[in-house]
Amino acid sequence: MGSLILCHDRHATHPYEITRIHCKIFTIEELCYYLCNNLYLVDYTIMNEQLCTWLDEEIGMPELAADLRDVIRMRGSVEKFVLTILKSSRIFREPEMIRIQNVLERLKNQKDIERQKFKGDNLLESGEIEEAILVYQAILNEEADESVDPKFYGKIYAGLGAAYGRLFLYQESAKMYDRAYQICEDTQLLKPYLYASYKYMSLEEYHILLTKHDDYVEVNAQMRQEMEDIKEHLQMERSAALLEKWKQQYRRSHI
Amino acid sequence: MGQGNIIGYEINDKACQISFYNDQQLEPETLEVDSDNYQIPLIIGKLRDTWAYGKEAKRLVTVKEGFTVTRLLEKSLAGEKIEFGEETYDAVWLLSKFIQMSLQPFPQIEGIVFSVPELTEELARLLRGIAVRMNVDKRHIFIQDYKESFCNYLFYQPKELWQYEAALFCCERNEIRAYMLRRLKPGLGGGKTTFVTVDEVASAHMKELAAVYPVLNEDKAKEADARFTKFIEGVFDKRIVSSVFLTGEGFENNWYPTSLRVLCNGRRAFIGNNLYSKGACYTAYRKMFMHIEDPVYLSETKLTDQITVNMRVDGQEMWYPIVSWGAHWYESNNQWEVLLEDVEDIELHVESLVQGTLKTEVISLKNFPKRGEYSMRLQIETLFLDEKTCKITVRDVGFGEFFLPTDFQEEKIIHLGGNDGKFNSLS
Repeated sequence: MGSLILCHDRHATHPYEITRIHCKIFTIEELCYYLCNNLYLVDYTIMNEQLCTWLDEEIGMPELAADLRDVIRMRGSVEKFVLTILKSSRIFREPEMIRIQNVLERLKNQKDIERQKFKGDNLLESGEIEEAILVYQAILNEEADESVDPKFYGKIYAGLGAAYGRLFLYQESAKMYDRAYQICEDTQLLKPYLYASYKYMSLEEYHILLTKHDDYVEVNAQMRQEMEDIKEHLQMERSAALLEKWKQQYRRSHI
Repeated sequence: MGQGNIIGYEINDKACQISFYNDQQLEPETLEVDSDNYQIPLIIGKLRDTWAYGKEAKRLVTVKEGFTVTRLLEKSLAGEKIEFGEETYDAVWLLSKFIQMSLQPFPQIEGIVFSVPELTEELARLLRGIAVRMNVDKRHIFIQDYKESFCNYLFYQPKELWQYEAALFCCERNEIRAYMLRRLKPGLGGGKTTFVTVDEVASAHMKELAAVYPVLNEDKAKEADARFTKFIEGVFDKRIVSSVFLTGEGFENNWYPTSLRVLCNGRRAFIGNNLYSKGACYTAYRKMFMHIEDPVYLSETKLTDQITVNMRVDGQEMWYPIVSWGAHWYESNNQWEVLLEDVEDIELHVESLVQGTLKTEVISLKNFPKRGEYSMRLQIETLFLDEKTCKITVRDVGFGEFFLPTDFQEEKIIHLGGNDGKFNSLS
């Protein structure tokens, strides 16, 4: 059995803008939603005086603002800053707070390069594709970190493959999936690789690719079947709401 | 919270009085107009281009300069217009101007409760409108009568003062009224809440009082004292009274030594003239900071039904009242925003004190769009169509720029039993 949660009654007249996602925030509930859904994205840039002033003057939470200013002054961690906000909102039950705390703890113990990857993965998931590509590329441009599992880099390439694919850049996508497969040797990666290849190659080139690799044939058959199934069940109704959603998504990633 | 933001405003046709919540003392304090004088005459005036109110305006009356207006409440309710030279003013505009000027020491008002001798829907609407124009949040504006102010004043006094009944004597120039605060039947509403009411138990016109006010006439005073003693004995007959409160200008001269002995016999007695404004200030404080009120004051005109919703408020799970017993139906239109956490429908509990029943009503959310946890924000609105019919509307208000609002909404009409003249059955 779920619950209703009474919202705080203040809506900001002047919203706080989270530049990273080009989103304006009007309430403490929206701020908490952003933080909880972007724990991997949150970094020291969120710890700023502007946010404290906004919480104080626009949201009417002077005690929280004072606590956050203390965290900044004492050079506290980002995790502490975020948890202070989430606790003060009193939105979340204790188990949810513990889960969030655990995620933050896990992130804190991760290597910088792993956090970077999480950031890229989350950007990709939330549709910030160009930003995700930049994060992945930045990791690859750095000197290789030998302390991480070599497969880690394979997963970065797979992430890049997915990102390019979502931008319809299938040739780049196939190239990235190929590299990912070379490193990880994970057959799961063959399907997106073949799909991207199928999309950019001519039919002839694609057949040559299949004939060169026996194991690709079976994956190709599976993939084609899945494509058929999806096409069959695809229900694309044009509606004002859907159009508005697309516009929003476009604005968020391009403006 | 800054000092003076929570206001109790007593107003009648002759004067007003302001009490404000003092953050340091954690108590209401009454605004002093002069040394030991808290009453502001309800007069507004204008001399050339300057507006004056209260004492200053009264001076204009005395020196017969400029123009002045008295009986502002009565004139406002009658919708009168007041002409002065070439200018015409609506009485309600003048009343609003008066209230604004009198509240100048409090630039930012978070909540205000007006206390009036007798409450009507029209008067409540009038005062509420004035407060809204002063930019007070409409959810933090309430209007009550003197009886309710007395009640709220007592709620914040030591409990032994109203362990049994508590008496209030109001004495004006030639009239005395007696009120009695009493608890209603124990166990009402599941027994979790204490319900009280205040009845007017006696009143008497006493010509002698005119003689003892303002200068004491000893012979008349003795007569008045003797009559008042009898009056008190009549009021106290067969009652256990824990405390007595005396208020009104009629008690200013000490013309009642014998009566006082009777009043104080085995009980504590208090005298003062800021009980109503302080009571109103306590109410304002309660309304702003208490989600569930206890004790609750009830009267014939107040709601004896309650509608609650299970909700997490400040981290606490509770059956949160969206319509509260003890409120006036015409002051119970309200709105809240809530987040959903794994909720498919909204369950409402409708409790009736008179019928002693608890009904459940459900508003289904199955047609609403599905969004991630903590991002589905709904507005719940209560709108009274009449004193027994409340329309509850739930609508999707979106979630800022993350999710735009949709047109999805559901309505439910709740028929409340009301007290149907059976208020006395709660005794």
